Amino acid sequence: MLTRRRRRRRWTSTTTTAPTVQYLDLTGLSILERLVLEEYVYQTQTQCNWVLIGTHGLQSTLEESSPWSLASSFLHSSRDAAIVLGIGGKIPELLYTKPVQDDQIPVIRRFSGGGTVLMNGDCIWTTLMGRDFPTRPFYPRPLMEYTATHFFHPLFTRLQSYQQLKQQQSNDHHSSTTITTDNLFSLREHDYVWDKDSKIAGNAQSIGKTGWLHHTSFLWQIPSGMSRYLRLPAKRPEYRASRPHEDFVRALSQIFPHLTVDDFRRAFRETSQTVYSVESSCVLSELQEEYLLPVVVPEGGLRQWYQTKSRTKVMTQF
Amino acid sequence: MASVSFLTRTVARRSFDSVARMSRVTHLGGVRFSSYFTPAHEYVKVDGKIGTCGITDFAQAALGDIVFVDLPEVGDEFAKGESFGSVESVKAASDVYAPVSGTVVEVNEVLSDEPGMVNSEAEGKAWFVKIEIKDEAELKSLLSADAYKAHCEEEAH
Repeated sequence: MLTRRRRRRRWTSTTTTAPTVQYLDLTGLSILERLVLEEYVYQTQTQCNWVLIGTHGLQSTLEESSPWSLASSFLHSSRDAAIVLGIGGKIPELLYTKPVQDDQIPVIRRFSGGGTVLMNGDCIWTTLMGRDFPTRPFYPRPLMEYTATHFFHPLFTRLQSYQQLKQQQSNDHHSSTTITTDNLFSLREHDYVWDKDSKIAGNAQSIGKTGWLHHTSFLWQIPSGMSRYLRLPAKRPEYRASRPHEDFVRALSQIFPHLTVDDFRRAFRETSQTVYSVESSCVLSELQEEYLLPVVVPEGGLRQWYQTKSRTKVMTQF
Repeated sequence: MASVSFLTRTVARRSFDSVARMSRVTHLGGVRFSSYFTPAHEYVKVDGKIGTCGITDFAQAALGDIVFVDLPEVGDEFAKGESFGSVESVKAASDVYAPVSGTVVEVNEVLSDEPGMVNSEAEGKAWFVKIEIKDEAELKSLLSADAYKAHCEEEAH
């Protein structure tokens, strides 16, 4: 199996320069492939820091012969959404199991902590992986504060500037939508929120001796069925009170009505280039041959690794 | 950049005191008990060839409210430094590493229903696994109570 290794510089915490990262846009992978590939990169490609982004449905654009393909055999569903639980998620406590089963919504348990999300192609999935930054030892709260302050707040400032520019270009002076010019992104308790009250993303982390992973699902549109499938979690932030899902979460398309998902991806890429030193950048959909990703292919392909090493699992019985 | 809160430092000091009390090699009916620690805040209490392993009070304070503990099964074997499970807190799954090599002989099933016990009884009732130690020589590379105390003080500042 052909692989391509690149020389990589290892950033150490004693330097004051920006961490060097490898950047991957994995749009085109299925939800399951994204999860498992991410876990594989986190566990095994430990010589690098990584920044990932993508939008994912149940179907994959990969050929089944691709070493990164998990094929359709692992998820039997004609739907385009999946429920993704954290490693400790207990299905009867978190889901209305009958509608989930009746509607054939796949349920996947991921390797990281955190809560439950209903994922489809309208979610933007971002991941940061650090090996020696910001500062060892790594603990959940400082990492959450780091990502919010040093990466996502600048990202939302950039999105605000895009929005202002597009609004000016559209001469949309009579819009009934009130668009704030302030960056209202913040971290509240353990959530990324807008205007202090509306959750705009789900966060989860995995921490180990090789580093940390922080992934985030931003809702560009609210997927239908949240209240049908997802119970109100018993453990929830105080600021949520007992608000149902649709009243608690806010779609980015509502906050940035003049922007598109591609605008978010562009802002994310530019923020990555500002905050970090991006050594390599790779877009799955533009590759002619997927095995040229700057990631060492596992023996037997991702399918073998998923079956033998991965903690990510499709839940078939519940 | 990461800072450890006053609460964590307070818990650390409490932990140091309990560690100092536990770490004495005691003779009780001919059986010797010793506690050892890792820089990653796991402990192993040795009783003959059996080591009782878990995370320290310092670790639970730094992690926050524990909501889930993922443990191996009896019979699983782990090498020193290999991940044998994880704890979930504040949206993070944090790996837990084997202080010494060995075979799991008992798992603390209570933690599946009461993961929060780790926050109150980390170095007592909320142990994670008991392992049959494969090589007692590996204990020599672990931290003593005093060394662990110094390590925690350095990390807290």
